[in-house]
Amino acid sequence: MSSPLRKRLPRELRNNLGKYLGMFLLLVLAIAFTSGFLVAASSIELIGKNMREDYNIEDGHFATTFEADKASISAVEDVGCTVVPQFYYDTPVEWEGSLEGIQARVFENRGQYNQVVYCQGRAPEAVNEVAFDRVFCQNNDIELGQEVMLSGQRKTVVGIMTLADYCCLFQNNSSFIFNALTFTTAQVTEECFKAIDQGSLIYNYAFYMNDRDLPLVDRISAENDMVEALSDEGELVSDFVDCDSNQAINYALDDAQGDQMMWQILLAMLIVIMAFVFVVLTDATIEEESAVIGTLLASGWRKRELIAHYMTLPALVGIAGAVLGNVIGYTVLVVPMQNLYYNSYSFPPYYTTWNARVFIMTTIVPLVLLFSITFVGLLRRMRATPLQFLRREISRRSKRSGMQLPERIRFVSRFRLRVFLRNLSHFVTLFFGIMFGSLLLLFGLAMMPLMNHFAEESAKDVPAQHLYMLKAPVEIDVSANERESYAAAEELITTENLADIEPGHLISLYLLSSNIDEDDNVANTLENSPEAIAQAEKFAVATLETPRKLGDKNEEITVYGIQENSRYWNDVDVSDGRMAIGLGASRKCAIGIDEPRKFLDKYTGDTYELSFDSVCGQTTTMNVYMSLETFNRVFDEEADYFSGYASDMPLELNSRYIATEVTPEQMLGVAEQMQDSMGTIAGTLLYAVIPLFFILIYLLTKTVIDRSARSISYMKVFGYHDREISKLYIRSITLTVLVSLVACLPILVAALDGIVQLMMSEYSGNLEIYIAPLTYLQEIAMGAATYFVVALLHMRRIRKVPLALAMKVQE
Amino acid sequence: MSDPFLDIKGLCKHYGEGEAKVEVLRDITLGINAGEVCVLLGPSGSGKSTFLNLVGGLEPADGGTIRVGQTMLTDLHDHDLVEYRRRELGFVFQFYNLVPDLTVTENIEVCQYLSPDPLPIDELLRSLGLWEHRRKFPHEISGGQQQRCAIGRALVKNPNLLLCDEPTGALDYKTSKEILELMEQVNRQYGCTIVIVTHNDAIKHMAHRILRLRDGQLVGDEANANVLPVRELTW
Repeated sequence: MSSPLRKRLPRELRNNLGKYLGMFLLLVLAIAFTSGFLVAASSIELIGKNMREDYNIEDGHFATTFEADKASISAVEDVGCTVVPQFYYDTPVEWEGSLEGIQARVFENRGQYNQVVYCQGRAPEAVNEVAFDRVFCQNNDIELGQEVMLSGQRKTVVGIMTLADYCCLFQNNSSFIFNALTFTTAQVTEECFKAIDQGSLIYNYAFYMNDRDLPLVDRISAENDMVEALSDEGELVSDFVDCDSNQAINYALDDAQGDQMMWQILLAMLIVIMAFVFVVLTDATIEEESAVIGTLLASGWRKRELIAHYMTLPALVGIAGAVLGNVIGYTVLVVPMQNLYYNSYSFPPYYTTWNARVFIMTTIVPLVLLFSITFVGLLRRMRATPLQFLRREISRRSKRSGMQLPERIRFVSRFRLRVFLRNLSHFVTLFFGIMFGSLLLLFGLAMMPLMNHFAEESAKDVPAQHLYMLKAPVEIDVSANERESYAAAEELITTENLADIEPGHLISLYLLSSNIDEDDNVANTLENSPEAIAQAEKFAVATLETPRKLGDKNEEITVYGIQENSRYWNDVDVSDGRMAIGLGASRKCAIGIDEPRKFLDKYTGDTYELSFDSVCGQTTTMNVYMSLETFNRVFDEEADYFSGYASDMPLELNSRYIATEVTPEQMLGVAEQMQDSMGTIAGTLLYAVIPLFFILIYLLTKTVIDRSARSISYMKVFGYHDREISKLYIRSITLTVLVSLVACLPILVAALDGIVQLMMSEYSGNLEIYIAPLTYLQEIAMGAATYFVVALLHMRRIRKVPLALAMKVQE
Repeated sequence: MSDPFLDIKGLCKHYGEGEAKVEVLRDITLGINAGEVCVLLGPSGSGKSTFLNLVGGLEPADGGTIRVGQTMLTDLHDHDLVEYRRRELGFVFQFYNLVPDLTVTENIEVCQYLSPDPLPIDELLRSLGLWEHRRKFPHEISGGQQQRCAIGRALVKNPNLLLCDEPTGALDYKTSKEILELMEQVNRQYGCTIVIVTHNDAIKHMAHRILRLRDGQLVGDEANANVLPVRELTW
């Protein structure tokens, strides 16, 4: 015969609808959001990991200043790889109403290497057709059939695609942030590719190791051999990127993995809070049902039968919440969660993959937690004797609630204090609940200002209006004769067939170029004003790596060789061989002053031990500074070597020698890009957090009201008005909530700092928590507003406490 | 003859509807004079507690009128009923119903707070014999002391009407007599009208009026010409 107590279950559910509904919604929300996100992220991670095989992604690529000849390619292939030319050029794209400065990286239609996936349309087949990256098209509202000007030529967009080696649109691998707004990859036909001006053609070669499972160390060693082989063949290597260091391939995947860590941290915190809530609810149930339990025990019911009975409802609610949470997570939320990535990254078509680990984390763990906490709570409480239950002696009176309070305190204040002390354990839980909710709220609110702040700080790292990174030292302070000689030499080099040049002109070119002193640096063939030359400053740049403080990855550090008493880096002391390290690098890699640290050049394998005399710049500064003279000595360069110009005035430089140009505006543009991609996450987080926050506060404060229901009823009988009762009870809760909202802020800032550091251990650059004062106010206001709604519900509940409750026999 | 302080006419109350309808009080008419101690006797289910709830303004009547002093209870809305309880009434329950985490003094202060002209608490604590226990919590004192505290809480407002629902129901003989003596003293000292609902037939001898309920009907309403002091009661 089934337990007659089962008949109580629907009634118990109805009578405690708020409690069980809150618990149910808490589980549904937590499971739906975390499973939706983790399933999407883990599926994307799997898609990303399979891409190497599925789309034949390169093991790395290199670029040479001029086209490598067959001997050079053979020399590289002899190291143990296949080399595939994938030349490209970056060229402007525009259309009516387009943003300014959009650049397309144009490739010929690709074959089996670094394959292309067409999301819409097809590959270009005619000279006037082009295909663009999917995310770029999405960000710029480009549709099939649209006409654009590519390098000044009219083209029709016939394909929207994803290049397997450009999942994330990084124009330069050294960039901090990708750019899917004003940069895109493009594919055209071979004919079209040739028809477009090739002035800036990049001789890029993808390589595939013969042994594709070669361990990383061996691959890096082989890559060093490749660089050496190219140098031996007289090639100038302008770029060399191993696939593991290629942000365009890995950034999106790293992001999906890094975000999973963040969500797992959030899930863990959510589970802890759920545990708190379950403990509070179980205790409240037992306390409330004390007399019933005592009666049943006295009537001969076994404790285990009662435990089973009291576990049934939480278990059913928990299972229902888990089922619905997973259904919502897998069917509804997986799409926006997937879009968080697909709106930023050009992944191949998405498919959901079942992931047992995610299911265990998001469903089994919370359920087991619910069952075990309820079970242990019941077991612990069931140790009491039937008489103790009947006499309601199961709740130990805390010393705090029984303490004497000074009589000089007003009665009302003393009463509120009593409410507070009686429910202290609930209020402690409430504090943690508020802290958790606030953490998510603050995280969601702080994200946008944080990006702005980051961009502003990063802009300060660009000390001049223009930083020109050069492929070779190019002198701008040269005479007209020198300019003429180099212009002649350049014409000779860039002419494929010298026979095409008129003989007289050819002789004059030879004569002019013979004046060049090969020991000197290259002279710029374009003229600059004396003012521009006077204010421009030479510097040198190298990229090294050193381990990060957290995680097992290396951080890329940019080493600058600058002028002593530089007009641009005026707060950096590099005189007398001194070196300075940027604040960001110092913090992220835990490098202190006078603490020698080894740095690695991953391309050459050379290591450098550097020691610093000062820390400079902002939290975003990931650079090391030394004088140009020291730089050339450390890196064994010629005394007159340099690789860039810092200048507040624009310089006229041969485009052939410009690697990149960096401006402060670009860094501010980065903020826009980051806000574009992070805005959705921030919004999603807020959508999830506000109901979560509401439920948490509601459940935790409801127990306080429920415990006091009888006292509230007495108050009504004695003649208290509802508003007076609300003042006595609600104000204690209100005060606790408001104090908690403010008091937890220092903890939140420390926690967010830790979370951001943990997240950033997966990325390059240094992002430190920055919370604007307005954000604090917003967070407190949102928390208080959410609580205000909860308080209204409680006031309604107080109004509904029946007068007859006081008249009921209690024992 | 002056009007009774508590004047009830044709009072009816039922629960449920249709076949499930139960008439709890049927056409009760009675009057209790100011300053009287009235004992309401009746077996379980006779409607005693419902009667008390109606007079206390905790439940609305289905028919009839209740007037307390100048206040016609049956005409009042919820808000005015609260004012009525605040101004006129003191409640004493069988199981004391003290707020568990307030001290003896603080429990009394709960009602002192409501009155514009409350009785002095210290004096009250002394007269209730609770001065030594004023800082104790309900679970630290005996049942009799808890009931004294509950009486103190009811009295501190200086109410005109004291409604007592089985005030000795949970107490032993000796303590019950102490509590009844206290009520006798309160009636004498403060002149409030007291309605005591009880099963205990012996208590009737301390009352000026004895009412009897059975199945919701008033089956007895007699004036007691020979009121006995509580110390002479036995059961």
